[in-house]
Amino acid sequence: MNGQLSRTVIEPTNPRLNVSRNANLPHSPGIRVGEYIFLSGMGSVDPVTGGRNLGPIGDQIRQTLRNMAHMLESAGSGLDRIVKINVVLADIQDYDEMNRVWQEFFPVDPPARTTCALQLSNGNGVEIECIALSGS
Amino acid sequence: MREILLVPSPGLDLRHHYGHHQSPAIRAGGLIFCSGMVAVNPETGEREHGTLTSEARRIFENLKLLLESAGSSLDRLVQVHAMIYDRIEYDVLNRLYRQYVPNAPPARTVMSVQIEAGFKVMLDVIAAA
Amino acid sequence: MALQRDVIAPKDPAVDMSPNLNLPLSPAIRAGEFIFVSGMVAIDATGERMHGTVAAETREILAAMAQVLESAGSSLAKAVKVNVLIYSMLEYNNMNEVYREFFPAGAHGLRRQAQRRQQGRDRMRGAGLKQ
Repeated sequence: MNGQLSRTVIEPTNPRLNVSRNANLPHSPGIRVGEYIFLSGMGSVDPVTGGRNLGPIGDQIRQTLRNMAHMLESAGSGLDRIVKINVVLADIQDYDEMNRVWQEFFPVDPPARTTCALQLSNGNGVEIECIALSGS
Repeated sequence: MREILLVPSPGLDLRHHYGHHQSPAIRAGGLIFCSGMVAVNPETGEREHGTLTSEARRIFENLKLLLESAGSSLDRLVQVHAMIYDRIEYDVLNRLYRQYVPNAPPARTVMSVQIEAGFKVMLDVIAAA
Repeated sequence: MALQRDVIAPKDPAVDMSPNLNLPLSPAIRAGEFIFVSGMVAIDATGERMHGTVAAETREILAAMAQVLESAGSSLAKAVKVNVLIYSMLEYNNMNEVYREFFPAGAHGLRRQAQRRQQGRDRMRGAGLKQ
């Protein structure tokens, strides 16, 4: 039988973005297994203060995706290596705005995506998770 | 190449007990994809409604049985979608959750949704084989 | 050498939600041994949103998903994980009856279903495995 895939924890280079550690939550920011990276759901966190960065939904989504880019780059990957991304909105009415912002971050060959609307915590407007390929 | 995994204990086969058109777990590409696990008795398949804590405990014990029989383990979980019936139980979930994955826990997103049969919690997981 | 990721373009453009609904997503992405499929809603042969019963929408979605996977050299039979988002759990049986037709006994993928508040009545997403 083949050897097992290795499994390692991914953490962001910027410690302010390590919500798992800072908020003492039972998840890792990300897990690398074989050639894939699975990220925990991320919200709009300020990379300077580590606090929540709420405001218009467009800005929340931009901040979340920038943080996601940082998380993946910390692991040698990047937004362009995302294969599947799941977006949870607090309000489905924000769907069109989310689409507009999306083009800024995924201009070419965007990842497969599923979006839905659910109850979120702490006034967050969005939470995003993804599966990406590891880097070379 | 995908392989449908057999359940180690008859109660874990929800297709047999409840007619859910799903396999309990499938191994493919070095990963194990599990169907959403709820609080059922692993021997009899009976639903065990309770508090969020008691249901989550049963779920983790069931996942432990399932993954270990496939040569994996809770330590090898890579991604969890934790579905809870109401976000108000977030802290309650965490308290139980940490007991089962204390070190290097898997990536997670918590989603508040309506779960089948009035359960309070369901875990949808992917593990490394 | 890192894994590559390829965008899957369905052979039949009518099942491709992204240009028809002006969405910045790829219908599916192949990476390594897996194919990750975007969440799909029911669209008709002209590419318009199709709102109907849950049974009708489920049928439309799974037929389209089969086409997307076949364009990638895979199939529904190779699905490893399907997530079904349904607007109300009361419609579970309606969805299930149609679902069974597409996943014959003994060769079906996993599934998890939960109610979500969302646009459109029914939406499915899946990860299929290519050959």
